[in-house]
This record gives sequence, C-alpha cells and structure tokens, in this order.
Amino acid sequence: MIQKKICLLGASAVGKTSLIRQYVEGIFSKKYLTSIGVKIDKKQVKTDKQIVQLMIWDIEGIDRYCGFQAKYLRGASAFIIVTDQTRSQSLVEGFDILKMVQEVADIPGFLAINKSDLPASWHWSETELEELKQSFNQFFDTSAKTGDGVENMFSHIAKVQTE
Amino acid sequence: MNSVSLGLELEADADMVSSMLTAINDFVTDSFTTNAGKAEQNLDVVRTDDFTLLLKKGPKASVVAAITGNMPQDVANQLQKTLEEIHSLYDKELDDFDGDSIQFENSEHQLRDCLMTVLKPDKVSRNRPWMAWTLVLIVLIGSGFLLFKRWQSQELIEHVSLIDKTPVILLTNIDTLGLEKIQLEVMRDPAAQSVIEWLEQQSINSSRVIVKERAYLSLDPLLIKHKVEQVVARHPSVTANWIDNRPEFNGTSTNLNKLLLQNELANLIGLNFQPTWLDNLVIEGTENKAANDPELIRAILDLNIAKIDRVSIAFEPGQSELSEQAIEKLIEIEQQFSNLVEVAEQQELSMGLIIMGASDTVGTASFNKILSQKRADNVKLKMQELGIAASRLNAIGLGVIELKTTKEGARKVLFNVIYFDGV
Repeated sequence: MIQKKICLLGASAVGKTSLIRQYVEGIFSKKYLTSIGVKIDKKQVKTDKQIVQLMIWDIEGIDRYCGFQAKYLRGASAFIIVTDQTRSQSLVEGFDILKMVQEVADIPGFLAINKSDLPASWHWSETELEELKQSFNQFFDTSAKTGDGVENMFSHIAKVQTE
Repeated sequence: MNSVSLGLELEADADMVSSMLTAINDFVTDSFTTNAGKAEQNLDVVRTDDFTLLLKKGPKASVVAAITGNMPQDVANQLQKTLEEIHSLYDKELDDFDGDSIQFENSEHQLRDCLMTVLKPDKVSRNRPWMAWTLVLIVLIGSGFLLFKRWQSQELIEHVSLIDKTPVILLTNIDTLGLEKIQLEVMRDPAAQSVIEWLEQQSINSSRVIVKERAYLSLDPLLIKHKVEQVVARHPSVTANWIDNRPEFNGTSTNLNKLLLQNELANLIGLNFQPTWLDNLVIEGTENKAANDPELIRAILDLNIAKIDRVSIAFEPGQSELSEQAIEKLIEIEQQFSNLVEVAEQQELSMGLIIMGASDTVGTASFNKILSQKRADNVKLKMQELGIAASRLNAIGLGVIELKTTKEGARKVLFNVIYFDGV
C-alpha cells in the first residue's frame, strides 16, 4: 500500500471540511483546525493497480486574517483548492492561493468547485475555462451536501498518484 | 512508515498520529521561532497525564514512542539508537521514498527491540512502591524513636533543673547532647560532694549526663560548716559544736595540735576564724614529744613567724614617732620574737628580724627615703630597748611604696622574720 499526502486548501467557508466529512475515516475533531490550523484524515482508495492511502490535510481557510502556511505543504503529493460556486470571490482567492502554492511546491493541483447543489453565481467564459485547464491538473464539480463528485475526485487523484 | 505496539488497548492510528505530530511540529516551529534564528523547532517530549510522547528526529525519518506510565530512563537512548539503525539500514529506501511503506516492513524488528528493552526497567519500577513503603516505614520508626529520645532528654533536663537547689553546686547551663544525653555546666566548690554523687542522690542516672565542671569558692555557710568538719575530722580528739552558725571546739589537744588546728581553721576563707574559739580545748601532755620532732618545730616556727609578719606599725603623715598603740604592738612582737629565738636556738637555727620602714607618696623622694629609714630605726631602737639584741635586728628604709592605692596605708613599718641553719 502506498501512502500519499494531499492538502485541502481554499478561502474561508467554501466547505473544505464539509466536503470530506462523509468521505473519510476521521479521528481528530474539527477543533484542531482552529487551534493548530490543520486537521488530518485518511482515506484508502482502490485504483486499478493498487490501494492508495490518502492522508488528507484539511488546512484552515486562507483569508486576510490567516496567512498561507507553506510548511503544511511539505511532503505533499497533490493539493486541492476548494471554491464556492455561490461566491465568485472564492474563485479569485482560489487563484491567489494557487500562485502561492506554485511558488513553494511543484505538485499536481486540483480544483473543486463546491456547492454544486446550489445555483452558481458565475458562468465560465471560454477564456476562463482555458485558464482553468492550464492552471489545474483537473477540476471537479462537487457537493458536500449530496456527496456528488467527491469520491470521483479522490479516485482520480489516487489514480494520478499511481501513474 | 511503520509502527509497533505493546498491548495497547486503544491502538492509535499510527499514520494519522504521525501526520498530526508532523503538523504540530510545524505549528510549534511557526509559532515559536524567534526572529533572530529561523532554525526549525523540534518537538522532543509531549507529556499528558497518562502518556508521554517521546520524539526523535533524524535527517530522513523520525521515531516516536508513546509511553504509558513513567518513562524509563534509557528509553530515549534506545530510541536514538533505533533511529540511527533505521537510517543506516534503510538509507537508500528513505532517499527514494514515494509513499510506499512496504519496503520498511522489516524495520519492525528494530522497533520491537526498542519495545523489549523498555519493558525491563518497567518491571523494576513496579517494585518501587514496595521499597518506597519500606523506606517510609523506616523513616517513620526512626523519627518516632528520635522524638521519644528527645522527650526523654527533656524530661531529664526538667528533673535536673528542679534539683538545682544545692548551694555548692551551681547549675550554669543545661542542654541536650546528641540523642539521649544531656550536658550540665556546673560550678562546684572542690570541697563539696561530687556532681555524680549529687545526681545519684536525686536518683538521676549519671550515665546519661555529661558534666562540665568549673571550680569556685563558695562562702555558703553550709559548705563552710562542711569544711570545718573536714578539718576537725583530722583531729580525732576535737569536736565542733555549732551555735548560731559559729563553731565551738571541745575536746583535748596538745599545744602543737592546737596550733596546727588553729592554722588550718585560719586558712578557711569565709569562716572569719577567731583564736578564742579554741579556748575550750583542754591541753594535755607535754610537748616533749613534739619538741623532739624538728619538722613539727619548724611548723610551729613558721606559724609564729607568720603572725609577726602580718603585723604592721602605722605612723602619722610625715612623722616617725611611735604611737602608744605602736609601742603596745612592739611589746607583743618582742615577746613572740624572743620565744621564737629560744626555739630557734634549740634547733640550732639563726634567727633575725628585718624591720622595713615605708612612706606614702607625699613629699620628695629623698625626704621620704630618710623618713622611711627613720621610722624603721625608731622601731629598731624600741625593740632593742625591749631586750632584743641589736645583732638580730636590721632596719631598712624602703622609701616610697609606689602604689596609688597605698597612699593611706603606706606609712608603715613592716616585719619579716628570717632564719637559717647555724647559730
């Protein structure tokens, strides 16, 4: 079994923690996020080749009050930036975070466009979609509420890790 | 990469714990790194009520031990050893690590070694409560014993303090000494009973008492009585009756013994002896026997010489004339001296009287020298008149007796009887 560290990043209140709550085996309470800024969960994903154990580092929301903790990225194999499709501002912040990550680590990044169960506040233009494809390895529409797209996203990430 | 556990009921998820520890370590580094040094902080020990997490960080991997109960002393060393072993055994694997922990499965042996080693001191620590209780018990018994001994000493001190009424043994200090002894500092007249006797009289065990004794002369009437009785005891034919703290001597004695007794009593300080106290003694026998013993004769001589030596003739300031009292004294001295000369001749001793004149500090030195000589000469003349051969008399003027305290008393003529073998 191979083990990989995946970091979950994003602006505040985009639903990072909720996104994985149903999906992972967690032992640590949510209060770790507010105390030390990170909560760790794990999930074993079976790919065609082997089982991959994902150690998912749920990192505190990044905003103007809370800076980007580059240190938590150390040793990570991939990262997911979560955005909230009901708030376009979260996408702008997501891109800011992406830049900061790319400055310290050269690892594959994925975009989760969360709250897909709610109406979107923005629509992609052709150029925006092009930019997305260039910036991220892959992007997914997810819903923490219904669980749609979550498993698919982690399976894809696990698969990428074994290739 | 790997974990082993020793019967922990709640087996923690090693993967998540190690990840979380890494996160906490990062958190600590970010929170507490000083501005001056950007060096990374490393968690070393994390302690809770029941658990101790001991972390050893190496260049490529870390070893963490979760310890329940007390942390054995060498566990840190063992962890360090294990960490080094893992680094040397899996050097390449650590370099190439891509998240696949299967290559580290064998590291379980190294980790288990660590567990085994830690178990042994654990057994020893289980014995500790028993040993500790024994120790506590010993300490309790010991301190109880000490308290008991101290209490006994205090009792003894109280007992001794209460009997501090003997007039001739003065208790100056009393204190405990060591475990069960007490130390007495006393002042005792050498004539009094010994301190040990004194203690035993009060039924006090003297083996527990250390006595530091200093001599002093007691004027206590009780002790003076005791001293007189000691003197009388040496004269079996004499008894002493006490009337109003004053002795009266009865019995029989020879003249010699009477003299010896008189001398001994006169030497008792604080008695204020008067020769008349011996008037009741019946003198028996002759002194023939005594007269044949030169040593006794010498003793009598010395006693009588001392009497003359003690006499002094006083003069008015600047005067060398003899007063009436002075002449009376000289008559007495002449008689005593004549008797002495008689005895001395019998014993073939040559006897003389030195007459020493002295003056006070008033006036010049030369005047006083002449005055003192004149006083001595006048006494010598009077003695000659009274019948002492001039050859036995020697008058000397001492001049001023230079003692401030003698200003009044220095206007005197003093006597000194000398004798030596051969007439």
